[in-house]
Amino acid sequence: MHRFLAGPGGAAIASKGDFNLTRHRASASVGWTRKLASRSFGMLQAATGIAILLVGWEIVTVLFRPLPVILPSPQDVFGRLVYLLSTSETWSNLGISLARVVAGFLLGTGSGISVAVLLTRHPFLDRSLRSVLVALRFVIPFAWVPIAAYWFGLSETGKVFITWYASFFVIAFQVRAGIEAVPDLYVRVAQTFGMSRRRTLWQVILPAAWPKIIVGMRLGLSFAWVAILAAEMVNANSGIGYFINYSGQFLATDDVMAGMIMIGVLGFVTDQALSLFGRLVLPGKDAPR
Amino acid sequence: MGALEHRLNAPGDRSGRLAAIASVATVVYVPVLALALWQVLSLFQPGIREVISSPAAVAANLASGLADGSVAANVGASLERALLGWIVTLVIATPLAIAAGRIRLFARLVIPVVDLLRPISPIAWIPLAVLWLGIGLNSKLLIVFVVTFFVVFLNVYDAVIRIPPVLLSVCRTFTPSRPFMFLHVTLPASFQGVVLGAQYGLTTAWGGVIVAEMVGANSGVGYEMLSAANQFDPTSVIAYMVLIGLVGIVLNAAFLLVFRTMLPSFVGPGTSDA
Repeated sequence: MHRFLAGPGGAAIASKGDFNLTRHRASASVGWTRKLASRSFGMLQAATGIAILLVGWEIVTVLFRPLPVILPSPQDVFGRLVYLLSTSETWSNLGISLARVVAGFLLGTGSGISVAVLLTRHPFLDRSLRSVLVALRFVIPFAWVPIAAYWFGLSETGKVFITWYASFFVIAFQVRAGIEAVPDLYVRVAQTFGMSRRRTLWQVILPAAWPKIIVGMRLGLSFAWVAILAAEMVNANSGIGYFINYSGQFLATDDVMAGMIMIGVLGFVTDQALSLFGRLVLPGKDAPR
Repeated sequence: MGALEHRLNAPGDRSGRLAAIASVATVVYVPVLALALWQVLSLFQPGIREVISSPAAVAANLASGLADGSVAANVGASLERALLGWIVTLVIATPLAIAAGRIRLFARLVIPVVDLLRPISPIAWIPLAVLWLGIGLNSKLLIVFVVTFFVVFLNVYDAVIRIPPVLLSVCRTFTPSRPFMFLHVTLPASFQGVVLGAQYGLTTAWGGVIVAEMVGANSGVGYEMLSAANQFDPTSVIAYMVLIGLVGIVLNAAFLLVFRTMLPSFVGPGTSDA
């Protein structure tokens, strides 16, 4: 496919799933000792990152004594974080955001994989829909936020629509690339043994494309997180994006930063869970580098 | 894609031309049918038109916006922010990523921080940017920077890290000079990543500006489309959506065009037919 057609979602390919920074230095790890070593390396790295950020932040607050509205101290923010996590309101905000993301993401996964399978099996359909899919890809999810607000108001439908839209395209395009990359030989062997088309799809093509499918799903999930925050900031009265924006309007910078930490943790945990799911379904298959 | 172009360019014979017409038709008929269906639906009932507007109304809206200059003013304001932010990001992220890829100690310091900040959705920075820098140009630049930084950084870093070690070893065999290695090995070998990062970063920056303008701004495409939605004017909202898509396509194409003209010999993953 022409790179031009890859469009803005291409950014996605390069922005998250394909990269695992911690893995680069310990890439060819086989066997549990090395695995353990690389895991503790990852822990060490995370600890370094946290230490650098905290120390830098602390130094800035001690040296320049900025107003808490501009930059609260780490202690303030963590105090707020602990307090916020003890309120049920925060948990319901986190829960509703998570539900919106997961709903849109599941719809996006189902429709994305189905569309990719259909397009790769029917070249005519592929040619027919390509221009529409590529054009829609450039109409980024953020552009749909106002019209979704107009169509659906404050209802959940609008939020789920946005998260679906954000995850659908990248999943569909990645899965299609994955299916197209399955060696022809696999399919021909399956045919030689008289496998039906359906069985070939489920037992040969999809498993062979699985690493790429997981990459697409992880990208789709991270896109859904980005999109839901935009949708919640612009048009919502619940959710973590709403909370962050609302706190910002009331100059509660410590709450804004506590919200950012929560978003980061939630994004990280859901991404790791998905990657774990990918490894559980088909062990021993790592994403192609 | 290649086959299609080849066929379109094939001179002469009749069946070739017929095939070309047929292949263009398969690409075009769905959008045409969709537009027609949209138009028919909106004519059918005024209630539906209030929800989805109509292609004719959207086209008329765009035409009048173009005629009175409001479209140019808004798109211009947003584009200026996006391009400025994009350039700032390139200038900061590219050297940082190259340094992180080549200097181990620096990588040990920078990569953990990048990894830690990455899961935080860039959108979450918008309220902070507004608190710090108000609703003017600077806060837009900061948001575009946060949105675009990781795309650029990760592409460049990945390219630098994947430079085959043998290239570096050969260079070291002949000269100990690090500047020489940087200019003649590191830069050329990671150039594709730099270009790819810049290309993806451009469309990402455009998207970032739209959100930034929706949340805290008083001008620009994002602001205008949100206020149109608040005034129950779906025609303008859809017209702006069309504009956002068109600008994205044009930016991407312009990047590739400029790039190919400047460096015709370069064939990289970002520019070649794959």
